[in-house]
Amino acid sequence: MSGPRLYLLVLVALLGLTGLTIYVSYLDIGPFSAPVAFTIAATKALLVMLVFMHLKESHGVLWLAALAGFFWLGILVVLTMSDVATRGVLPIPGK
Amino acid sequence: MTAAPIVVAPPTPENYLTVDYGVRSWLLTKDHKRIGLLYLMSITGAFFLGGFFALMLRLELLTPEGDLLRAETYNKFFTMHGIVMVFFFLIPSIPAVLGNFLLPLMIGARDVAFPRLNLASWYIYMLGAAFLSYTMVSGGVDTGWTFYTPFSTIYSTTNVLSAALGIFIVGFSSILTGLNFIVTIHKMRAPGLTWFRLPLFVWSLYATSIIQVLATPVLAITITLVALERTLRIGIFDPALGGDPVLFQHMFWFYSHPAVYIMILPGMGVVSELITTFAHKRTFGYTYIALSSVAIAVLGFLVWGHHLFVAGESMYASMVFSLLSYLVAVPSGVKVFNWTATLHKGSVEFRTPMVYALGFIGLFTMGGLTGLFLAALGLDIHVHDTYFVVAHFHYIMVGGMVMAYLGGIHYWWPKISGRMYPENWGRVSAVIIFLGFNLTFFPQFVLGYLGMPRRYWSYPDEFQVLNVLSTAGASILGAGYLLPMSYLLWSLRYGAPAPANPWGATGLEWQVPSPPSAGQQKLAAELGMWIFLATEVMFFGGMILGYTMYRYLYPVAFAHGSQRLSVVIGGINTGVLLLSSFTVALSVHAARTGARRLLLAALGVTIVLGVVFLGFKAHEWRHHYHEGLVPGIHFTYAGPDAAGVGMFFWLYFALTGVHALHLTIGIGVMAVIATLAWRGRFTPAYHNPVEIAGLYWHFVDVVWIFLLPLLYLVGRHAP
Repeated sequence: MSGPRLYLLVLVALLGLTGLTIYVSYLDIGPFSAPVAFTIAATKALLVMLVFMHLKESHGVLWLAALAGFFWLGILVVLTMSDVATRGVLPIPGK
Repeated sequence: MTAAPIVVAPPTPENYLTVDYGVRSWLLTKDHKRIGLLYLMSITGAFFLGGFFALMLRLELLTPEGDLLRAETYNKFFTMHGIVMVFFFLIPSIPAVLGNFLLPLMIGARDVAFPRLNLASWYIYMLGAAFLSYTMVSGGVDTGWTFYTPFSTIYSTTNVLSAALGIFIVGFSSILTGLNFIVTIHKMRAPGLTWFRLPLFVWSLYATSIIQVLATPVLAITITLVALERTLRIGIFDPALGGDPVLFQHMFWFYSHPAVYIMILPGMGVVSELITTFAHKRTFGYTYIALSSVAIAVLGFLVWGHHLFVAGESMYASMVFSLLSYLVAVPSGVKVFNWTATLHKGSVEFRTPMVYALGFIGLFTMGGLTGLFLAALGLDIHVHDTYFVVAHFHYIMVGGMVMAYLGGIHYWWPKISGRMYPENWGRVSAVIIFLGFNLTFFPQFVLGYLGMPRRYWSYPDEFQVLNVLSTAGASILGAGYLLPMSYLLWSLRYGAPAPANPWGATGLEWQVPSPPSAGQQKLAAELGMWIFLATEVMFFGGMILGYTMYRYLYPVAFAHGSQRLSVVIGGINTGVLLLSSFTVALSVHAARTGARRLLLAALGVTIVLGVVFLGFKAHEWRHHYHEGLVPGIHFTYAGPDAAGVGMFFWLYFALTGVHALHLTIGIGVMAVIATLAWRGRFTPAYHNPVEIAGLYWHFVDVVWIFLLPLLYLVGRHAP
């Protein structure tokens, strides 16, 4: 399937996922709140990128460019949080 | 009587310098060679300006007492020296001058992928320079080029904002150059010029460009946050307001450490070319040198935390960063060993560029090895913020990079100017610069090891001898830099005409360039937009990092903040944006199939949906204002965790504000596209602008898809 019919299907899926993530936010699922919400968001983003932005029909270098930003954002967040999340673990002031 | 023979002068071959002489032809040029020269003139000005500040600093340090400059003036001078040299000379030097001039010639392309963007990047550079000039004449700035908070945001009374704006602007020039080069290297290579046949200089430009497009946006958002804290007094980095100054250092060095590789990688590329040419030998380990450039670019992003060993960074993170910092020495070592192996049994010719290249290897190696001292957790504490650090990075950035830059300028000067420079003067000046440099900076290693801190305008008497040596070296170095400036200018008029290939080099730039096929332009634009979107991810990424960190530190306050947002409005707005993405996809489909009425209708609905989204957003913001939830402007929240809730709301306004700005730009772009569509400009064969604008719109949608859970949904049930 391709063209407007596929776009419509994706739109319905996106709206459905939005409804789902809002519904889940009203449930008290404790520490699972963030993983669930961001898994749904990542799925939606992937749908937009693959279908609306035509990434699924694109060749390697566009995939590389599309992933580069997210990969480098991961480096920035993970390494910075490796500092923030481990502060005060050692009983040394300031460490 | 015989008629005198008619002598016909041989026609002067027309070249890029003689094709047109008017000022307008230079200021509106789209020729990559002329743009390279525009950069050459601009950054040469920056180099001598930065050099003037350096000279004044060294003169002040000739004596232990602060007797030439006042302490405040000294602070302003070392700040301007750093800003001018780093952002306005070193970063653009090789990429923007030699890269612009040579890249298309080296890969057989007619020009870079986006010539207009190339010219725009020079104008952006000049605009940034204008703001910096304003900063200088209106009193200067005293924060150091590192803008550490909270001094830069709260306490400094100097012109932080205009300097920061200048750097913010010049950063975009750097991004656009990098984007242009990546697309050019991917899409404009001559047929048959595969990746592992590219000149090593091109590999180094590619690696540099990756850093430029992915790191620079983080600097931009960091500077924006500094400006926000300074103007609105909201707690971003100031601990007194609940912020974290170490977050600033993380964000700043995420850019500024890789920026060192923006400076040195192209230098390594130049040196690879010089050594191959003047050793008259094939490059030893070509593949390893090429891939080590990419390895340096990637690993260079993982080491920034070694600047924070004494800034309160956790011990575990410091251990990780220390280990990663050692790793980056591996690809650097690969390069040095391969250059040495190329020289081995080569027929080495000591022309001026080669003398510079050999100087580079020596000085870079010393700079690199002393970098290992600084990556060591224990030793770094002893030499942190001393002259040891100053000496180390000058060995890399001046001893390494400027030597490579001058070597490259001499090497390609015949191609650039059509004239030869005086060889003996060239060799003499290279040696003077090498000696002057070592005399300037080697004593600083000793000074630092002995404990002399950097950034002070006076010092104890026992340090004077070494400081006098350093200042004497700086005088020699200054004279050494003036020499090439003088004889290169002289050669423009009096130099011998240069043959096409004076060195017997093998690169394509010494041959006739082959233009690439025209059919590659569509893919170039698409790739360019995807790379631009990657920079946008990093721009938003700085704020997302702030959000992640403060959410981790203040989970309850963030939940309280989140609870004050309307999930209903957030949900409706998400639906509106998703619907607009659908209509954009439809419009691209309509453009591809030539359905003009559908195209116009879809674009019209898209614009309306964009405006509806902004309308809802404005309503929300108005509501928050009336509730007193706007930090820095109207914040009256007095419930529990007020500081943390304030933190949530400045992040909320920053993220949604920047998103709304992007959407507004998207609406403007769509309006232009709709106008062009109305005039019938798009056909099934030509509809590239619709696709490119569509990619941008979808990206804005994707950002919102993540903002919805980030701001509205996650953790609403926390107490």
